[in-house]
Amino acid sequence: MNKYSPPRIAEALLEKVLPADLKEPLLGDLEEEFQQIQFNQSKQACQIWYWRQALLTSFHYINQTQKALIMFAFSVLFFTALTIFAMELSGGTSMFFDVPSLIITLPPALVFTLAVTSPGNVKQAFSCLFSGHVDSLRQVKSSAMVFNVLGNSCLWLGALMTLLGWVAMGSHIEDVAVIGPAFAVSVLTLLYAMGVKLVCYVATQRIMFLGQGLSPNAD
Amino acid sequence: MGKSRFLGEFEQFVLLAILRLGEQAYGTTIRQILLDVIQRDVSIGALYTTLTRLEDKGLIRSAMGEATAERGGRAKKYFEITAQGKRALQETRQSLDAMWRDVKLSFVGVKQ
Repeated sequence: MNKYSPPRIAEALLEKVLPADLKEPLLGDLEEEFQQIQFNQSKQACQIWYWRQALLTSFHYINQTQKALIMFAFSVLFFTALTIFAMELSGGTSMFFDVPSLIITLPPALVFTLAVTSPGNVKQAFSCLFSGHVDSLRQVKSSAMVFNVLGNSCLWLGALMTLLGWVAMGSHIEDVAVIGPAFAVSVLTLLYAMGVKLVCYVATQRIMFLGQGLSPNAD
Repeated sequence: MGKSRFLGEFEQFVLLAILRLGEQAYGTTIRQILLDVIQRDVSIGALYTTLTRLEDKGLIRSAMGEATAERGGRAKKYFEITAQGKRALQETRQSLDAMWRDVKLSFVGVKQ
C-alpha cells in the first residue's frame, strides 16, 4: 500500500541538513515508518508526524552541517539589528528607507557582476558561502572575485549617484525646500552602497578563510 | 573503572534494543522497540545522534543493507553490538546493582 508520499519540503529540508552518510538510512527509515502509520492514521496526522520528525531531526543536525550558514546569517542579522538601532536613535527608521536609492545601486551592481564573471560563478559563490565548503583554489578565487566585483560596483555606483544628486541640488541651489530631501536621498544611496560593500567584504573574507589549507594542485 | 566506561541511560536503552532485535536492528525497528517497551517516543534524529556516538566509541558497528521500495529505494543501516559494547553494558549493570544493594526504596521516598 502506498497512498501518499512524505511532504516534499520536509524531505528537502532533511536532504539539506543531514550529514551525507546518514541521508540514505535516515530518510529511508522515515519513509518506511510514514508508510506504516498510514494504515491507522489520517493523511493530515501522517504529514504532521513527518514534519515533527523532520524539524526535530534538523534541530539535531543543523549546527553540525550548516554552521557556516548559521554564523553568516547571524552576523548579517546582528549588523542589521545594530543598524536599525542606530537609525532609531537618530530619530526613527522611516527616513532611512528609500526604495529608488536601493534600485539605482544594487541591481546595476549585480548586472555588472554577471557581466564580469558569469551566472555560474555567481551561483557557485553564494553556494560556497552558505554551505561553508570549497573544493579548489580556483573556486575560492572566482567566488572571492564575485563578491569583490559586487561590493566595489555597488560602492562606485553609490558614489556616482550621490554626485549626480549633488549636481541636481546645485542646479536648484536657490530652492532650499528641494535641497533638503534631495540631499537626504543622495546620501542614503551612498549609505546603502556602503552597507552592501560591507556585507560583500565579509563574504569575501569568509571565502578566503574557507580556502586556507587548500593545495594549489587541488584545482 | 574509568569515567568513559559508564553508559548513559539512553545509551543503555539503545544498546539493549539492538541486542533484543539481533539481525533486524536498524533505525525504524530500534525506534519502535523503544516506544513499545519503555513508551519512549524519541525522534529519529536523536536516535541517530546516539547511534553515531556509540559507533564512534566502538560500542556498536554498522553495515548498509538492502534498499526496498517501501523505503523509497533507500538502503537500511543495520547495527550490531560489539564485544566492547557488551562489556560496557555488563559493567554499567554491575555498577548499578552494586549501588542499589542494601538500598531500601523507603530511603529514596518510595512507600513500600
